Amino acid sequence: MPGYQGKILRINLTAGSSVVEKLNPKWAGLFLGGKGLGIKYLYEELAPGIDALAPDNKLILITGPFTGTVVPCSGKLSIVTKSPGTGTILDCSIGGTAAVELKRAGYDAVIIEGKAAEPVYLWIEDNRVEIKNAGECRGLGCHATENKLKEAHGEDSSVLSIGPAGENMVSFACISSELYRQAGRGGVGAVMGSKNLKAVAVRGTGGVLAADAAKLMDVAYNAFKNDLLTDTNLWAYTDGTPMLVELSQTTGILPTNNFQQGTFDAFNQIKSESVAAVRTAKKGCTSCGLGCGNFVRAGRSAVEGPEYETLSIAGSNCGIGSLEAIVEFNRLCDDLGLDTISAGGVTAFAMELTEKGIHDFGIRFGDVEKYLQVPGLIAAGDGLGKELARGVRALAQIYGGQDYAMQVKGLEFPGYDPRGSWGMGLAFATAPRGACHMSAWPAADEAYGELDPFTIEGKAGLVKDLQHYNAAKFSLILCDFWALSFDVMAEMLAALLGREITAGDLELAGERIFNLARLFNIREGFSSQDDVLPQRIYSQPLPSGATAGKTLPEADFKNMLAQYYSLRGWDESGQPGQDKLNLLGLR
Amino acid sequence: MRVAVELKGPLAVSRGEKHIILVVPPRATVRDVLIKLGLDEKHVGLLAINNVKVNLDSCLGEDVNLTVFPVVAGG
Repeated sequence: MPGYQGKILRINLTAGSSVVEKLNPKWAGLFLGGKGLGIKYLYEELAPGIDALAPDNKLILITGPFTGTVVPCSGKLSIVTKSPGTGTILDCSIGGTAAVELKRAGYDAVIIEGKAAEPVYLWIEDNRVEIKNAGECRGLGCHATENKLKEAHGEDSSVLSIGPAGENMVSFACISSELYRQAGRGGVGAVMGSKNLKAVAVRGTGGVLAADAAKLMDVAYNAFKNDLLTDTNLWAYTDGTPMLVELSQTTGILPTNNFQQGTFDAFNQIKSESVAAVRTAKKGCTSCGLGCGNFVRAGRSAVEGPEYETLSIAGSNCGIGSLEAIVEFNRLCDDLGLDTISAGGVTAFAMELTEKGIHDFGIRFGDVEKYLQVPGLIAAGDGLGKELARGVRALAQIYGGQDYAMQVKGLEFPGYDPRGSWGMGLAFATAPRGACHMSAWPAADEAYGELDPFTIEGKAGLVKDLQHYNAAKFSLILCDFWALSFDVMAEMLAALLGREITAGDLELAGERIFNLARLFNIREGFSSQDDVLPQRIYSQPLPSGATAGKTLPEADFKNMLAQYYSLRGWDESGQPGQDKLNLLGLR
Repeated sequence: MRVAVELKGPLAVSRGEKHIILVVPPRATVRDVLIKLGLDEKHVGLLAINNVKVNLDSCLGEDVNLTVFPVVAGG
């Protein structure tokens, strides 16, 4: 079966068993792989309404058709589960080498079910699958866990692990690999922790079949030369995401002090040039052609990062202008196994609640000393950390501040203020996993691009199209930083699979996948009532910069949302219509 | 008129310099500067004069700073 190994490894941790099953080829055709195929398996296998932290939930580690082939930027792994943070479908991707090792071991995916009685880790080496005792790793950070397992299984093995945050089931615990790569959002690490699964180590020695290897090589090389190494993509190498700090500052969408401002006085200290000044090396994932990763050393702390989302949400948004402090916060989160976006978001929210006198968490904007204590406290569930580990939505339900609880469906905002990028507001409101910049990123076209950011005109179509594009791209598992067309994706996939595939086929697959994620959420009780933004975005004007005086008025937002539903063939409650479902083959 | 141009990311790498001082005629636009520098518009993203977003047709003033960002994708 070209492009696929045709095998799923199913692990039941309760029974301590593993079984190899056939991949459903029809589903692979319709949902491609990665994100899409993972969502399909979860949709079919998960009973509605289960507790995301109960043994009933499943954790799916899944590759794509290009994984392990010569296609560049195809080295990421998708992880799909039901989110404990939001209750929605959740898919994340993680860089590093785990996807390629898993595929070379002979599997398209691993579906992990149940719960082990004691902490365990999974060791996969080709046909050999073992559930091993992880007692020695209990309580260790991700870095020590990874080092320990690589010591046991070889430097060429790949390790996915959780830290204390995952073991303690913090709602925004992440999964880590290669020390500094994370499946960050929505609590995938908490699901792993709920199963008493400390890590997965994998090494594979096989290959991946291509229908026409020579043609695939030719097509992939041309794509690499003509579509990847271009001035449109190389910013990811020269600067990486820290470049977005200055772009956001200039356009007034840089979250500052829990989204009270869209500009940050100390932005110069955290912008790309400042990160580059402490950069020590570059790094990319397996098969990467770009190398977006920056290794930095700032003061006594070193990390791969910080990415823009960390610089903004855990930096300016917390009033922190010290790059050294942000790097250390980043390092702590990586090692403890916390998502830096949600950790930063909840910290900023606690800072504002404190400064407004609503509840004294003892932490204020710009307080570096307290700020650096937060990750450790959250991961351990101690004192202030026990409160913050609940996430922004839960914190607001307990203490108030709902209007400026910057989250959608329970997922904390990434680093773009929708008041200066109205399409981004729609993207946050409609992304299946909550406030997410990976489902669609219209900020590039409006705030950073030529489109008017302060209008709803054309935004519903833009967001819809971007959501389909990313759904298809992340199901094939191609890196976000490669701005390639549907045509190039289709050409490579056709060469790999040995059958005709058009750009239209992939666009339709993207729409199918996005709608299936919506159906999952509807089955869990979500509706249009959940496609909303915090009141601050609607009614509190930003005070400075290019967005001074701007809001995203609620009436405009609702109008944009209605246009979006209509374009999608969804009814007013956000439910896909029968015609649309028939067209997509989802009935 | 004297204009200080700052090229960001790959634009600076491919040209081999990040900061450039140009002398342009009165009423010159951002587009004129890009042409003078040999920059392809399709590779140019956000443009800012003195940290304020502008477009290709925006006129330059005396002693302004023009920042030229590349197109960005992903996030």
